[in-house]
Amino acid sequence: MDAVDKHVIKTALETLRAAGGAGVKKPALLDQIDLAAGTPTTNEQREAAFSLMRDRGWIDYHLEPIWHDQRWTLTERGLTALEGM
Amino acid sequence: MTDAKTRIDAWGEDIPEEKRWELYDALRCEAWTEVRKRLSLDGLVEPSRAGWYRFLARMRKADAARRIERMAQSVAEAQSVADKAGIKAAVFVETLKTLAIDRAMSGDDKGATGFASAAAAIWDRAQKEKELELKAAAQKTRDEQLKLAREKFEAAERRESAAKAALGDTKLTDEAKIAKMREIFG
Repeated sequence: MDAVDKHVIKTALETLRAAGGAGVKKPALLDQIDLAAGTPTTNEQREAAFSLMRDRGWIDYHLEPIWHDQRWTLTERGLTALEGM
Repeated sequence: MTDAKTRIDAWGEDIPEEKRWELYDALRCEAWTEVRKRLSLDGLVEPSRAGWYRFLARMRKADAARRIERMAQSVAEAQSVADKAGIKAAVFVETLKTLAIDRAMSGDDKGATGFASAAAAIWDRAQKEKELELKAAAQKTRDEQLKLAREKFEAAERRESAAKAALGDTKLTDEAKIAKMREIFG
């Protein structure tokens, strides 16, 4: 992970930390990843950053009880990773 | 690189922060020709095209941080709205936060608190409607109890009148009066 990637991932994790238990929708998180990168990113780059967080168990989703949307939240592992960044 | 410092003579660094956000919000999706027109109208020194895109890249990173800040504020605001409205249902509080977060993430922080306030107002109204329904139900029960009590009272009065009439009837024998009393009072 280079410095830019690290900054992007850190921003995404910070976003999820700020959202707390309510979490955020995936498109909003991908949008945030795009903004954090500075220059516009491709879908593949955004998905790669997202997959990295998901595959490492840093983020997880739950179904929102009213609209049944998938909302992503920070896991304990994610919080530990964020604190180490 | 994120850690790289921004040159002090980079385009946009001398512009007040508020104006920088105004330019970013208005021009981030515009074509270069439109940007040039707008900047010349605002009397700003025209940057190189690369300088403008470096400015946009810096602002996009700052925008990501701004959204996190706004989202945290919106979540706190939604919690405070829920507390003020006396909303205790966890699902409803989380829904308020969800609405606030979604608006803040779409860059509409005013809409975020607006949504939470509107939802709280709806909740408040629903609670009042519920209270009115409960009060109406309680009133109906009281009315029925009163009606029952009145009926009992009237029945007692009727029995009393009948008993008085039976006792005052000189044509009846004592045995007949006793039988009549038994019939009246059961």
